[in-house]
Amino acid sequence: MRIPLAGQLPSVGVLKSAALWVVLVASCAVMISAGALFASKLKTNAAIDQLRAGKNIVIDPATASPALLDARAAFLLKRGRIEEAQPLLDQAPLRADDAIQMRMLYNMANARMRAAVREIEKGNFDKAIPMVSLAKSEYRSALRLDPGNWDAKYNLDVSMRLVRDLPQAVPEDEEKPLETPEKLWTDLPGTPKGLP
Amino acid sequence: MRLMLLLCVVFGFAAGAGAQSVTPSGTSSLTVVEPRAFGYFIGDKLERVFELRTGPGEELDLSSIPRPGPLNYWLELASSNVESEADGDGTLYKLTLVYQTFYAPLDPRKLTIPGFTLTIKNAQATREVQVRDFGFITSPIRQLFAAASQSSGSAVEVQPDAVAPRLVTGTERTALLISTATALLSLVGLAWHNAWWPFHKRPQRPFTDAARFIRSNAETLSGPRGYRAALLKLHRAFDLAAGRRVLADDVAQFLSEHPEFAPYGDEVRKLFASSRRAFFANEVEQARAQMPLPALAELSQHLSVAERRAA
Repeated sequence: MRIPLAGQLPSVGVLKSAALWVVLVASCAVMISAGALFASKLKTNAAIDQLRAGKNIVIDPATASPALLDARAAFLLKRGRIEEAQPLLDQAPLRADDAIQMRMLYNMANARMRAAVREIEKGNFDKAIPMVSLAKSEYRSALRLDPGNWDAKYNLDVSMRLVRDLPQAVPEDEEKPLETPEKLWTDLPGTPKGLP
Repeated sequence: MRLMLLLCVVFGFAAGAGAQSVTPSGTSSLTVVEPRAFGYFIGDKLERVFELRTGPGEELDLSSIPRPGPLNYWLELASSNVESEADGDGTLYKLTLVYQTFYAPLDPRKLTIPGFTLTIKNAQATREVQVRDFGFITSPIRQLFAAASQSSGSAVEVQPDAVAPRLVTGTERTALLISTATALLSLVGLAWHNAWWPFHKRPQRPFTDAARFIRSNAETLSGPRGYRAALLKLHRAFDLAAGRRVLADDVAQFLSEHPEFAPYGDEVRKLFASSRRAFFANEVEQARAQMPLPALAELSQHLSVAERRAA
């Protein structure tokens, strides 16, 4: 093929070569960035797998990825280490999406509920009540982020029956607080523990 | 306009509740699209939509719109959003309020979202539009009493923890595969185009082949025998490019058939002259003086580039 303006216009061969170089450089750039992202995600997944398997992987809350915060918080809260998990929950609103924040709040509230039930069994109601109240507020925050989460609804219901919300100093409600047909349970169900 | 009203009514029916239309004094009217009034559980959201038409010169006092936040110990206004558009000579406001209930009922129970007052202003005065309460039925999600078969602790047993999921890597893997394949394909294309390894033996690029031969064997070709070998290699290249034997007298014809080599015509003629001296007059040294090996290498390089450019 001959181009009439050969010499003035770049020839077909030069254009072909230039196009191939452009494609090569662009695809190499995509390859490097996708590869780096892929590798970092695989690394995170490996850490998540280890945390799930019960291995104590320590992370830095300030720099860890949200998925890792989630997994580490789940690991700690499953073991009742609430104080250690709190810094992770403080980081979540800064970086994590709603699903991760919701899960972390839900797991934290569950850990508080389990701790509260342990205190109740020991008879320490004064310690248990603030724990349940915190759990309730965390279940509510979780439901604000995901109103359709049935586990959070169920557990909020459990915690509400444990320590009831009551109208606070609203004059017209003083006369008749939302009446229940009968007194069905006490605020804190004590577990009867008689002799065998 | 009529169609819009009709749509509002139809939508109201679809949502399980009729649209409430109030026409207070003045020319403004309020249409309320309520959500269904039953079947709610703890944590559910309810959306009330208000369409308020104001008359000419009137506007809705935005400070009278409820602000998001807790309304009482079990009800929250999750979001409050208002949009306005011109509607004839008045304005149409669309107010969307999303409530969330945190009431944990023991039995199906009717709860009430309190009404509120919207204020409409014009240049002279203000007047108020009352929004009615909205009642809805909410139901428990757990049984009241533990069954005999359940342990006494089941009343305080919570649902299990949520498992933190692994990251999804599909997109990165696909991007990596596709970009790697593209990079390899373009690399193969470049190698083919430039006759790099493994395409360096392609017969279609005889000058590239010759240039590579002379460049990479510069040491061994430095003697008189080598010089002849280099000349022969270039002759073969010309023969292959032309598709027949090219002798000194055919150079002009060859260059007219292959104009891409025309810029190097003088050099090519010099090459053929040197070759004639070396092979026919046996004056290799004079030929080498006339066109030394580096000049041969340079010419073959030029011809190789020209050949590739024409491809």
